[in-house]
Order: sequence, then structure tokens, then C-alpha cells
Amino acid sequence: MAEQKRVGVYICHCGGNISDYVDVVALRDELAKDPDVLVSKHLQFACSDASQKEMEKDIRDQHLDAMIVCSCSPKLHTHTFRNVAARSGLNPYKYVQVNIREQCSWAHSDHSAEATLKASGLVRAGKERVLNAEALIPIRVESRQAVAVIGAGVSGMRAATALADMGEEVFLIESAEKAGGQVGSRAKLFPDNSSGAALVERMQGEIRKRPGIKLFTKATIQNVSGSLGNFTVKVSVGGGETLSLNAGAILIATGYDDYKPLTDEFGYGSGPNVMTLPEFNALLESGSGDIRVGGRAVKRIAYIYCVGMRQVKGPNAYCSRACCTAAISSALAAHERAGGLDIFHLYRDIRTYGKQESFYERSSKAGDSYLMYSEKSPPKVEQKGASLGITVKDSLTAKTDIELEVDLLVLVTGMVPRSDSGNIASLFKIPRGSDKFFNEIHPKLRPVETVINGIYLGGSCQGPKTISESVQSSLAAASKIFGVIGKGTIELEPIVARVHEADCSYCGKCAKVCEYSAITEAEHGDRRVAIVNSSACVGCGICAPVCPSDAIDLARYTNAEIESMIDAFAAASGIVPSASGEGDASGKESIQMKEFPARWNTMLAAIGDEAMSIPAIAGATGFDAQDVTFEVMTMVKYRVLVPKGIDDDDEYYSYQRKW
Amino acid sequence: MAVLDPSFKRTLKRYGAGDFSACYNCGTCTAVCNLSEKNAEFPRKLLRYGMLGMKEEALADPALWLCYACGSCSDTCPRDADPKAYMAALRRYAVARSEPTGLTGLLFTSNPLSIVFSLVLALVLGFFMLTLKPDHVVSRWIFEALPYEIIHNVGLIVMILTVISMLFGVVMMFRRLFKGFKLPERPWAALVDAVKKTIVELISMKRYRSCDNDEESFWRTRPLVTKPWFVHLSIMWGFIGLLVATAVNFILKDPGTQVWLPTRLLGTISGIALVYGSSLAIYYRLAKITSSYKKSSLSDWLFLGSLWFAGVSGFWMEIAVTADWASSLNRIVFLLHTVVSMELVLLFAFSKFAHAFYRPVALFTHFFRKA
Amino acid sequence: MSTEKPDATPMDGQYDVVVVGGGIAGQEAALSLAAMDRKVLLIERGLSVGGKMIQLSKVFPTLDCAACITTPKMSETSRHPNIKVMLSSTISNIARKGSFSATVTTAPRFVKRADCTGCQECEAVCPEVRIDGYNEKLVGRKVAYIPFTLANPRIATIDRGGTSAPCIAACPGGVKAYGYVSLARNGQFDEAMELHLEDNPLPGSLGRACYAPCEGQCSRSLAEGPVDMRRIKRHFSEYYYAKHQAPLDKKKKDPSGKKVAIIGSGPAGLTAAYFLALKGHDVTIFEAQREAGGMLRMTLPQYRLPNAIVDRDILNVTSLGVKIETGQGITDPATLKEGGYNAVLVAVGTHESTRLGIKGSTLGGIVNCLDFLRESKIGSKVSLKGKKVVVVGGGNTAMDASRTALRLEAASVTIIYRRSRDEMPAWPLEVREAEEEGVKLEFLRNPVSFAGDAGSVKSMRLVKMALGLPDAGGRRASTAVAGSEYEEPVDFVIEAIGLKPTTTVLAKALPLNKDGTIQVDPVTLQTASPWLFAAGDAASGSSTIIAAAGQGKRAAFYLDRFLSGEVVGAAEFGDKLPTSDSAAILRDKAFPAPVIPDKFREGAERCKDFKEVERTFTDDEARRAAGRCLDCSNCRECHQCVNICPANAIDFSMKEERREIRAEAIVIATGFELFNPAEKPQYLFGHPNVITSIQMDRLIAPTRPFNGLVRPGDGKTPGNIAYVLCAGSRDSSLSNFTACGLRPSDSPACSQICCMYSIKQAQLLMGSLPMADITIYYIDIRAFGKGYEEFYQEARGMGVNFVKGKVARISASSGNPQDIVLRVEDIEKGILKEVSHDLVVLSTGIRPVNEIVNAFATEKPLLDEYSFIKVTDPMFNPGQTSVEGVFVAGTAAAAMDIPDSILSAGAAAAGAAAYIAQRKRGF
Repeated sequence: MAEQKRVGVYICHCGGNISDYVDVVALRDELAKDPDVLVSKHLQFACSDASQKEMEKDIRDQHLDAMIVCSCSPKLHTHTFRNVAARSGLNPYKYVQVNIREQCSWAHSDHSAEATLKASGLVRAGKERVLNAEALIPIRVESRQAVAVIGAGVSGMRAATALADMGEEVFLIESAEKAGGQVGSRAKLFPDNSSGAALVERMQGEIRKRPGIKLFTKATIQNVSGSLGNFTVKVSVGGGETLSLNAGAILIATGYDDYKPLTDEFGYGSGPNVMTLPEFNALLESGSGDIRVGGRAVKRIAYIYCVGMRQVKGPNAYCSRACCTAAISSALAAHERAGGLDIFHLYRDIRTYGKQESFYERSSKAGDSYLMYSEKSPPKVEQKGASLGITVKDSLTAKTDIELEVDLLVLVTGMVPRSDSGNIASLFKIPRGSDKFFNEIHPKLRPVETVINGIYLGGSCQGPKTISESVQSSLAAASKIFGVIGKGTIELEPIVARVHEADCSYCGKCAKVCEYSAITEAEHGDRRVAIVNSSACVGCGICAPVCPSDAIDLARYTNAEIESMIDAFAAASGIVPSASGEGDASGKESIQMKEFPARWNTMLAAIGDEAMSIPAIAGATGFDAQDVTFEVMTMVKYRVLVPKGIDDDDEYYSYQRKW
Repeated sequence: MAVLDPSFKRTLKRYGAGDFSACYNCGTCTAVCNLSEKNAEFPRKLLRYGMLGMKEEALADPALWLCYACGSCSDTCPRDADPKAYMAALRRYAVARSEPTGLTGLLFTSNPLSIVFSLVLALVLGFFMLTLKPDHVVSRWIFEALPYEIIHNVGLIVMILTVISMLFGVVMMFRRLFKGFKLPERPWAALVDAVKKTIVELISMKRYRSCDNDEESFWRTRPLVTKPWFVHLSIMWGFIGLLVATAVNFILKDPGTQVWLPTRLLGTISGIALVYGSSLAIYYRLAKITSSYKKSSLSDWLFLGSLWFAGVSGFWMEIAVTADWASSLNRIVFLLHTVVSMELVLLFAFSKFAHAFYRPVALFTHFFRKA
Repeated sequence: MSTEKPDATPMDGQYDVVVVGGGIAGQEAALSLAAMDRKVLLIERGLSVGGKMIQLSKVFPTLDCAACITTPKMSETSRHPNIKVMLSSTISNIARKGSFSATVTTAPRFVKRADCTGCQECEAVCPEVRIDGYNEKLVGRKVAYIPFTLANPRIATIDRGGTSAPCIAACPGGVKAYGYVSLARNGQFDEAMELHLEDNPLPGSLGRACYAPCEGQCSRSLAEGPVDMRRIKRHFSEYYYAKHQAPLDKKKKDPSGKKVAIIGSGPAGLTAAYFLALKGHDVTIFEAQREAGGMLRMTLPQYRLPNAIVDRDILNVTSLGVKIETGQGITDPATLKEGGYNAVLVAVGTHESTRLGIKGSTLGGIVNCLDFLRESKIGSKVSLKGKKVVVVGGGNTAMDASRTALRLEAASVTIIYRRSRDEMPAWPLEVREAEEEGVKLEFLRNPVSFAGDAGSVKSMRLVKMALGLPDAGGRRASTAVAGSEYEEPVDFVIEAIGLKPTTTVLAKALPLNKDGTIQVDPVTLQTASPWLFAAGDAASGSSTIIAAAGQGKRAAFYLDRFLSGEVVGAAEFGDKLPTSDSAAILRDKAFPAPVIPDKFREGAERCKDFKEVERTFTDDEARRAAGRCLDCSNCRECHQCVNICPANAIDFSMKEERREIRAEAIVIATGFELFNPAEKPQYLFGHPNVITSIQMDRLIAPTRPFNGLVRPGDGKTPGNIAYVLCAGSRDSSLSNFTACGLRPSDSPACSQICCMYSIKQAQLLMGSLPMADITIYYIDIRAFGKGYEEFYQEARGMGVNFVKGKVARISASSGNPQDIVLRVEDIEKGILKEVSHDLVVLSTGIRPVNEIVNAFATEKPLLDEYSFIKVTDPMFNPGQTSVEGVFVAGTAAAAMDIPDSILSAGAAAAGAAAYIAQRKRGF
């Protein structure tokens, strides 16, 4: 028998998220019996500061050589606990997180006993895994002090200037003939009524001012290779020469497309008097005085909102966020340009969120009529001679059918992912969401990062945004990028593929499947073997199963680890969980205050040894039911009282003394 | 199918509606209103008619007249759309539309015209008064040009026309309100019930009273006699009392110099009520004491001002008569008193005063339809 | 007693960026900047980082647990080597001089951060319950508490509410009267005694002979009469002494190796010795008399303070290892210093008397009161049988002397005082007691001369006095009335006209004031020689036992600093806070409670012996007397937390700290406030079952305060819940309230988050209460973010009921007043509804928080039309305010949800980083 293993196991209640369903005490006890486990504890919140301190103390005092935390998804807290390990001198990779929340308590909340059994299997598997885990050392990579920004719309341009100001070299890559993107054609931007053209011009000026920014227009990206710290982006500029740009990180700011209505969607295409909002904006910008369509001055305009958006059945289930305000501000601009207009807005919900509400208010005060339709009965549009007839069931007038005649219909179309977003996604290997916009890792934890290390998102390629929001997100990305590559060296996860040269005879299968071009052929003594570029390897593991001689494996996912996990999971559980998963498992004794507030004494006297509901206590003491609720809950909090259960009529809990 | 007519919105603004297009249809006004009830939801529904140009629907809804303009809706409107002002404007529009000559519409939508018309009418009426004593020195020369009978007959014709207009309006309103109406199962019982309820409401205005009783109402803690409900009741009963007293006096042909004569007593009490009510109402509007008194149209001022003056000058006369205190000033006051009172009666159908007969009709319709 | 030392980080005082606000935006901005290797100071006014997000249940649209997302960030923020977090702190005086300078003020939390382990023992033992702010007033929490389970740092705090009770504030000896009264009230007499021993070793003496300045300030003295704190103290000290003949072991610090000599064993010397010994110093007291105790022993008569009690009190001191050398008069402290003592404290008291010095005053039978009292107490009791005794003077010693004379069988005792009764400095209770016993008082008389026979006094000549105008000290002068002299026969005269410091013998060794007191620094009690301190009456002039003891404690504090090599005057002594307002307390919490009557032996009986005149309380009387306490301050200062804390982390003497800092840039991330629905009376806020959305978030959070989901009104599990959207948002009618002095809402903006958090809560409620009906009343559903519309449609699919229409009026149901009726127009149906719900949630909107602009001394950042911090260049630099170098992140600038706050923080960080980089490059 090898030397004594010293594993520490921490089971988290997640404040009830886990402990309400999984019997954490039973789990703790089962692990405590395991000869490899030295410390087995359950904690209210494993991630809390105090718990972390406790773990650090255990690691140091008990000389733990491995640690498991059984809590939530490793996506959330792997770093947290690896840091705990690192701070107390344990190799961070001798730590394994077991997900008993998403995989047990949340997934099986109706089957508490089974959830506990499953958790027990997972924890045992985790323990085996950590015993087989190697101590790894992070990979350190030198980073290029340069960033490739893909797309020179406002997001891309703004991020480029910020990065240049922080001291990075920037390659700003734009497929169109000049930088500017879509904003140039917008008038009256929220919130300050400035014009899009002016904004674009200003940004272009800022870019010219900074020699660190190299702008490539009419550029197409041929190929992207490399990894964080050292990407190579091959770009053909103007269809001619191909440049190879070397960058430490990449910011994708490729923007969006306007939704194009289908033929005859709300009469689109049936005449010049039906147009989309961007088309109408262009028309507004193109002249002054009366707005003319087909030679006729327009007096009455209708807007239909949510065209192509918020579809329950159609492809675009999402809301395009910016279009309500865009439509309303175009209406205000139309009023400004041509007096005496009657404007009708046919909407589903007006989403002028935040301060944008003032646009809505201004437009209604200007006399615009708002009518509301539901997706189930959309407005009908038909050409009527020179004008258009629209009928709509107005939800604001008890669903009365209303008929209106207008000279012009504007379809308020939203933002859709760029038509080439599929290409961009596969070039950079970044995922898209169900809405086909590029996906961040987590909207709150890591909102501008993609699953590919070193590739970031900015602006509306990620989802519909207003201009200010786009700029904000690309600036946020710029600060994240600079935070990662600004120091010149980067620490990377050592979870990469490794070749056991002895077993390898280079068949090339691994190199062929590697999507990151991380595997190449090399000499090894007299043989040819595969070698892995660890900074390019993302640890996807696709190479391991294709190797005919098991000569390649992935750190943290070695055969030994995986097989031991399967065996351990399959083994019988030693616990007989209680069916209820009773919540009070914290083991904390009731708090013995030496003195209770007077009101508590009266209430406790009334309760006696029975269990009583709040209204009953109120009746017995003459106190207000509200005060009784407050005090009872406080007593429950301080474990003077415990809830006994809910009354027969399923309306009131009853409470009894703790002792 | 309703055809949307944006011009109606502009018409109503001419009648004094505020920024009602600011409405974003949250329904606060309807829900906050104590008088709004199931099957008689207002004011948002009426606002909506205005927004969409649904004129006939607006006029055919008795809810328009159920409102006592307490102002809760405007106080709580989250968009400052001022539903109270809108309702008042729509009522003016309804009065104008019900009256066949078109005069009312002109008066309501043009303040200068309204002033000029009132003054001219006052002059004419004053002149008419003077003609009541054809041998009076001042006016004798006139009758050389115009025979006394003609003048008097013209006066009578005008009076008759006024009454006809009024009746026409009421008939018009009935027709609109009962369009497409199906009689209830027991029409007579319903009719009796509705009439009863209408009378009770007219006498007590208890619905109005409920307006001042909200938790957050400015008036909740104020003395009853200062509440808008009481003020309105005083004006109404004061006016009716004076009308009755005057009529009885007229019938008895007894100007009643005795203070304790029943008709005199009734007149005095009614007069006090009228002056009290109209004084307070005028004060509330001048001081803009709550938001419901913030906006006053010219028609409000003319109406209230006339009532007040009629009341006060009436007392003046009473004192003068009782004290046997003759002077030329008293004569002028007497003349003005008579002119203003006449004007009030004459313009009954063409002014804000018209609500006094449209509201009962609407109340009756409301109760009858609910039965 | 020490204040917490500022962390000695290398970046102390000098930072790249100051981030104000520790919510999600502040943390995110700080972390972004720290990742860029910028040194960040994060200032948070609360007790933990985390902001409002840590209060939330889960977050939309992913339904992640908010705590799971926030805690790693909180943890990282607190631990990042480039970030220093200052809690309970505010910033002020921000001025630009090149970079920014500012003052950071940190309020004391009375718990040492480095020592607290978050074990919650203090919270368990604390007897006081207050409303819990973290749980939005739904439950209570203790005065000693951990702000919330997930707090970072997870350490306790003592919520003293900024004030001390008047009795505590009044005590010159720093004794926690309210503390021991509250313990005695609960029958915890031992604990009360232990609390007293924390501040003073002489409770037995004080319980009998203290003039109780605490009672003078007692809030109840403005009503029925003060709480009898002295007698309560006497009771628990007797109770304790009866139980513990010898003192219990006290926790002493390890020996310091320093020796201290104290001259004088009175209250000041004993108290100083006690505290110095606790600090681990080796203390020796030198006493000139043959017995220790000073005034306690020498002058206070047995009937007031028996010797046994003084002995037991002194035992508290000597049991700590303090040596008392009696009969050792020291004339020059320097000899002690030379003899190996590291420091000397002079506490010799006032044992010299002022003499009349008139004709005949050297005759026999004329004594000074101190000699008389000392001889009667510890010397030979000379009988005065049959003698006519006159006592000259109106102070407490005059009372003691006269009553002692009575007990020595004098035929009569008369007190002669030159002013009237009102001017008498004696304690009224003692005057009353003396008169009860038969002492006669004659006012407005003054002796002129004595005449005698055979060297003994036989008569005295007196002159009548008249009162003049008050002098500068407010005391009326008395002048002799010409020609009013007369003779009186007398056998024995006791002069009791004043006490003088016993410093004549020290005059050569020490600098003295004119009145004979020793010259000291009034704060530190240090003399011109750094090693020499002086305390008690010898330094302050004649005072009271408790004042002298207080001086001893003060001297010990500074003397310890001197011995530890610290800058003596750099710390502030004491743990008192400003006094709470008695009038307000009486107004808010007075309840009737009659005084417990005095209990004295009969005057005629008691004047015959030297047994104690006052009887002690019974246990029950002591508890009833203590029960009259009005609980004048938030914290009782009962120190049960201090005693139970296993880490010795609680320190009531912590003081507010101010630090000057400098920074290149500032990020404002001060967050938002929620709309207070009381501003809209139609919403019936105040009814327990009309709650705000943040309260609902607490009710459904994993860290929720309630066991299940119950409504606050009566604990019922709600089956029918309504959401009222746009409560305080999109509502210009609220500006009507500006006239009433409430906060203006200025402009009806949309709060942006309420729709989504309501839908989130509805989804969660559908999960936890599957049978419940959830209705959301809305105007427009604003589900505009990524995945939000889908989330909204999902809620509809789950059966959440959406009704378009803004709720206008909320009232209690006429049937069951716990149920709530909403009045609303169902817009889509065009009908008016009155619907009853079990529980109503007001989805309150966001209000700006902008007080931070007042912290700017020079150029203040501008506000926008909605009173948020104005973003001056939203299209290009969305974090930039009107002041160069000042950025704004998150909801300080506008309503926004968490993802937007995080992006905005990133943008502000980018702005600040670029700004600093440019400045460093010399732009």
C-alpha cells in the first residue's frame, strides 16, 4: 500500500440550493469514512471568504495533498478554489470540483433521495480523479503587444483608439471600402441627438491621430491561426496582397445586418410607399421640406414595429432592443423636417427603456397616435390607389378594428446577425447562440470573452445594442484585453494534449483532426513523432481518441483519471439517504441567548411545548400578526424556534421551540 | 370598423383639451376614478375615442356626463395627459354638437367672440329691460322708431328658440345614447328604477361626494362644507331655489316686501347658498387650490362669475328694498342683476350651464342601461 | 484599547485609481483596472462589498444564483494584490492638484478585522434585536452581528448607533452604567460585576459612596426619577463578593518586563495599578499611611463604607500581583526612577486640610476634619461624650465629620456654613441623612475667633454673613455683616473647610500649580518628565472617588503607551460616543415605572453605631430597579460580546479614522436607490402585505430569512401574488410631491430592470409555489436584452398571467384586511377590475444616488436632467463625466441591468486606464 492519501472534501449547501435536496450530512459522513479522506466537511457557502479561509487552514495544518469541493458548476468556481489551493501551497491542479448542484439538486429536485445517491457517486468519482490528478504548472506565454480588431464600425474604431491609448499596436481590419460601419447613415442618435455621420467622422479622425493603429480596408480575412498571445491573422487587402498580421489578442466587432422583410411581409415590395426603417432614415436624410414618395408629398405615415422580431414561430425570437427608440426618433425627425404630419405607430410593446422614455413622451405629446397589435392578429396592409389601407385590431381600444389610410408605411426592422456571421464564426471558431449572434462565455461573469482564449467580442455582433452600448461593450473588451496581454506574459491553463513519444509513430491522425493546428510532426531520435504546440492547444481533446496507440492524452483528462472516475461512480454507494433531505443539516446548535426580548418571552410562553401558527400566536398574545411574523422569523433565524410544518389547510406554517 | 380620424384630436384641443395625446394607455385614470365602474369605464376609453377620432362613439357614451371633474385622474396621470381637462373639453364639444345653431361651438372655441357676444347680449338685454316701461323718459324716443310690440315679440321668439334648442339637444342626446339599445326585460320597472336613481343622485350628488374621500385626497380631512361636493351642491340648490322663488313671486305677482314671506325666505336662503358656493368655487379656481382647479376656461369664469354676481347683486337689491334705500346706484345694480340673470337663463343651452340638463339625461340613460 | 493599525501596504495613500462604491460595477471596474496592473483603492460605505446584487435571489435571464456570481467577484476584489478595499468609509474633499487628493473617513466597526473569525459567538450572545437591513426589514438581527452570511469580509460589527447612553457618557470613571443595569435587569448579577470590573476595580466602594453622576444624567430623572444605579451596583457587588471571597483569575497580558511605581493607594492609584497590571506591567504602590486605600480608607466613615469592603476592592488589585508598600512616604519620585522603576505615577490625593488660621485656632479641641475622620476610623476612637461640637464647612467631609461626631456620643453637633443651603457643596442625600440623624445646620455664619480655657476651646465668636453677587464661577460671595458678631459656647471644633493636595513634600521634585496640584498634560496626565505621570486629586484638585478612579484609568492608558514605546499622545483614550438625546428617548419609549423607595435605617437608631446606614436591595428589588431603565442607546455596552469573543476581536475603543490619499483618476460607482413607495400613497405601502420587489427577492433567495415563502402580514403562504410594475418609474405625477419636500423624480424615465426582475421572480415563484397564481400588471413589457424576450415568453408559457394596465389604487380587502385589493383597468379587454391578492409586490424603480458630487471640493461632476451623474460624451467615452479624470460606472449614471453595469464598468475602466496612460506619457 502506498503512502496515506490526504484528501480534503468540502460539501457546499449553496445556502439551500443543494442542501434542500441533497443530504449533505450523509455525504459528508460517507466521505469521512473513506481512508483516503482526511478532512470531510459541509459548509453553508463554500465560496464565502470564511469558508475559503477554513480550507486554507485545513490544507496547511493537515498537509492535504488534494482537495475536492462539491458545489456548483466548475465553470463558476474552479478559479476560486484553485486560488485557495495555490494560496495555501497546494498545487491548484490537485483540486477537483464536483458539480452536485446543476447535476443533482437542480436536475432532480423532485427526487431528493436519488439526487443524494447520484451526488455520492459523483463525489466518489471526483475523489478518485483527484487522487490520479497530476500536479501541473501553468504555461507561460510571451504575448505580442498588438491587437487585431475585426470590423471598423463605431465599436471597432473606438476599441482601437482605446487600445492604442493604452499602448497597444492595433490592426483595424475592415471589409468595406472605408471605416465607419452602419452608423454613418443614422440621424438623431440616442441619447444626445447627435448625427451618426458626425460620430463616424470624429472616430475616423481619432484613428488617424494615432500612429499605433493600422487600418486595412477592403480587407478579407483568409485564415486565423495561433493562440492567445500569438495569433496570426492572414488578410488579403483590396483583393491583392495577403498580409500576415501578428497579434496577441483579437477583438471581433463585426456588427449586424438590418432585417430585410420578406416579399409582401406587411406589403413590403408592393409599392414604393412601403419601406424599412433604415430606408426611411436614408430618405429623411436625403433632403428637406416635404417628404416625397412616388412624387407625392407624404402627410400620413404609419410605422409597424417588431417586423421580423419577437417571433414566436419565426426564426427571430429575440427583441432587437434599439428599434423602438430608432423608430420614434425617426418620427420626431420627420416632424421636424415636414410640418403637419400625422404619424401612427403600430406597436407590440414600446421598449424605450431608461432615459429613452423621453423620446416616446415627446412623440406622443407631438400628437402621434399609438395603436397596439398582438402577434396573433398583425395589421393587414393593402394598396389603395395612391395610398395604403391598414387595418389593425387595436388592443388599446378593447381590440376594436381600426382602419387607417396612410401615404407611407415604415416597417420597423431590427438587427439580425450578419449574413456572413457563420463564416466569421468558423474562421475564429467562436460559437453562436440560438439567435445566431456570437456568444460570450457568461453574460455577467465574462461578458466580452469567447470560449476561445484571446478572442473577444465588442458591439452588436454579440446581440442588438444601441450605439452607446456598443461603444461601451467594445471599451469593456479593450480593458479586458489589455488586462490580459498588457503585461507581456500570460499564464495559460496547462490543460493541453501531450504526446508520449515512446508510443507514437506519427500516423498523422491527430494532426489532421486538430482544429487549432496545434500538432505538428517532428523528429524524435530516429523516429518521427507528433508534437503539441501547447500555447495553440486549447485542450479540446479531440486528438486523444483518434490515436491508434494511445500515445496522446490530455492533461487532467488522462485515461487513468477517467477510468478511475467511471469505476468509482459505478461502485455502490455506502449511504442510505433520508428521503426528505431535511434542510437543517448545518449542525449548528440553537443559539442560547441569555436574555430574550420581552416580546419573545410572551410569545414563547404562549407557544409552550406545542407547535403554533403565526395567527394562533397572535391570537394568544394579542400582538399584531405582522409583529409576530417578524419576531417568529427572527427567532427562526436565531434558532429559538423551528418551523414544524405547514397547517392542514396549506396556508400557515406552525412553529415550535427549538429545545 | 372605425376609421381613424386624426383631425378630431385637433378639434378637441380647440375645445380646451390638454396634451391628451401624451396618454400611453396605462389606465390609471380609469382605475383611480371612484365613479368609473364596470360597464362605465372612463376616462381612458373616452380619451382613446379622441385619439382615434371616434366622434360618434364618444358622444354616445353617457360616461362623459358621469364625471364630476374631481381631478384624481389628472393628479395621478403618469404622463400629464390631463384627462380631466380632456373630459371637460369633450363635454363642451358635446354641448356644441347637440345644439343646432352652431353658436355654442363658436363661443367655446373662441374666447374673444365669446366675450363680445356676452357684452352685446348684455346690452341688448339691458335695452330690452328698459323697454319694459315703455313710457320711461330715456327710452321713449326708441319707440318712435321701433314699436314696443316688435321688440317684445322678438324677445319672446328668442326665448322660444332657446327652449327649442335645448329640447333639440336633449332629443339628439337621447337618440345617440339609445342607438342600437335593446330594452331590458321589464322595461317599466327599469324605467321607474332609473328615474328614481337619477332623482336621488341629482338631489344628493352622492357620487360626487365619493370623489373627495380617497385616502390621498386633499379634501379627505377638510371640513365637509368646504368640499367641492358641497360647493357644487350649494350652487345648484341655490340657483334652483332662486329660480323657484322668482317664479312663485312672478306667479303671485307679489314682489314680497315682507322678509318673512316664505318665498322671500326661500330666496334668501338660496341666495346665501349660491353666493357661498360660487364664492368658494371662484376662490378655489383663483388660488388653484388643487390640481383640479388649475385650469379654468373662459366659459368656466363667465358661468361662475355670472352666478356670483347674480347672487350678490340680488342681496344688494334685497337690502336696498328692505331698507327702502333708493338711489341711482341701486337702479344700475338692479339693471345689471336683471341683465346677468337673464343672460344666464338665455344662454342656458349655449353655455357650460347646459350640463344641468345633459347630465340628468346621461345619468338616467346610465341607470336605465345598467338595469 | 488600541485602534486598528492601517494595513502597511506599499501603496498606502498613493493609488492610480480610486473606485467609490463596492457594488458590482465598482468591483468590476476595480478588477479590470487591477488586471491592468493599476493600484486601486476601493471605497465602500457599507460593511461588506457586494452592493445590491448580493441581496438578490437569482438573476435574469439565466437564473444563475446571484450569490454564485457575486461571491467570486467579491472574493477576488478583497484579495487582489492591486486592490485595497476600505469598508465603512466615505470619501470627501476631493481636490485636483495635478492628481487628485482626498480624505477617506472610516467609521469604527468595533471589531478588529484581522482578528475576527466570523464565528458569530458575539451575535449569539447579544441580547438586543434590531431590524435587519440586509433582509429589507423582514426579520431582525442583533446589535452585534455579521452583516450577512456571504459578507466579505465575513466579520462581525457592533452597531452602537453612534451614541452612548447618558449614564455612560456621564461617568467620569468610564463605567458602563447602562450595561450593568441591563444585565442586572436580567438577573445576570455576576456578568454585571464582571462588566464593572472591566472599567473599575472598586465597585464595592463605589456602590456605597459614589455620588453617581450617572443618575444625574439618567433620562428617567426627567420623569419619575433616575434609575438607582449606585444601589444596583451595591447589590451586585455584594452578591458577587458573597459568592467570590477571592477575585477570579483575570486575563492578564504577558509580563512586559517593565516596572511601575505608584505613589498613593487611593482610588486613582489603585485603578491605575489595576489596569497597568492587566497590561502585564510589574506594579508597586507606595503608601505613606499605615493602611492602603487613601480616602476610601482614611476618611469615609464606616457607616458609609466599611473597611471590609475596601479590603475586598483592594484585593481585586493586589490579586493581579500589585504590591502595596505601606508606611512608605516618597518625597522624590526620581529616587524610584533611579531605583529601577521605568515609570512613576503620583496619585497622592488631597490629604492636607485648609485651616481657618484665625485667633485661637491653635487651641486644643480644634481639629481638622481629615485627622478627625482618620483617627475615628483607623485610629483611636476618642469619645466626645457630652460635648457640644461645631463643624465648620458645608462640604461632604463636613457631613462625614458631623455624623461621626454624633456616633462618638457628642451631646450636640452643629454645622456652621457661611453661605446658605443652596450653595452647599455637599451631596444633598448626605445632608438629608445628617439632618435625619440630628445634626443641626446653621447658615450664613462664620467663625471670627476662638477663646479657650486651659488650652482647650470653650467658646467661639461668630459673625453673621450676607450673600453677595455670584462670582465668575457662579457661586455667590458671602460678606460679613458689620456689627453682627456674637459668642457661642463650644467644646469641640472640627474644621472642614477644604482639602489640599498632599504635595508640599513633593514641591522640590515636581513642578506644581499655584493651588498645589501637579502640572500635567490634561489629556495624557504626563508631566514634563516623560517617565512621570500624575493622576487623581493631586493632579486635578479635590474631586470624587469615581473621578479620581477615572484619572487613574486614563493615566494607566497613556503610561502603558509610554512603556510600550508608542507616541504617548497619538491615541485617544476612552470608548464613549456622543450622548444620546434623553428628551427623544422619553418621547419615544417612556413607560411608567415608579422609583424604588430609599431604604435607610431610622435616623435615631443608626446614629448610635458605626454600622451601615443604608440597607441593600434584594435580588428582586435590584431587578425591578434596573427594569426602570429606558434603554437609551442602541448598544447596551453590556460587553457580553467582548467577553465571549474567542478571538478577542471586539474593541469598543475604536475611533473614526481619517486618511489622506492621492490618486490619478476616480471612478464613481455609487449605484442607485430604490424608489420609496411611500411617495405614492395610492400604493398602500406600509401594509405588511404590500412589499417591494427587493423584499420579494429576499423572500425567495437561497439565503432567505423566512423558512418558506410566507407573507409578512400574518405568515400565510401566499396563493395569489400580484406584481405592480412601473412603481415609481415612467410616472410624472410623482413630481407633484416635490412641493412636499420629498425627493423629486424630475422626469419620468423608465427604470429598465423592473420588468425583467419581476418576470424572474414570477418564474422562481412558479417553481417554489407551483399552485400559486402570479399576475403581472404592466404597461409595456420591456424585455429588450439578450435572451430577455425569450425569457418573457417562457414565463407566459409557464402560466404567469400578464395584464396590461397600471395599478392605480391598492387597498386592504374589506373582508380580510390582510388581503390586498388592486384596482386596475385591463387595457386589452377595456374593463375595470378590482382583484384581490394575498400578496402584492411593488416593482419599484431606480432613483439616482448622487451625494458623491458633494465630496468634490473643487470642480464637481455635473448631473444630468434625471439627477444621475452626467455622462458628457456618451457616444465616444461612455464613462466620462464632466470632470477630467473622473469616470462613472454602472447605475450611478443611469438605470441599467447587471450585464450593462458590468460593461459600463469595463468602459469606465478603459477610460481611466487610457487617461492615466496618456497623462503618464505627458499628454
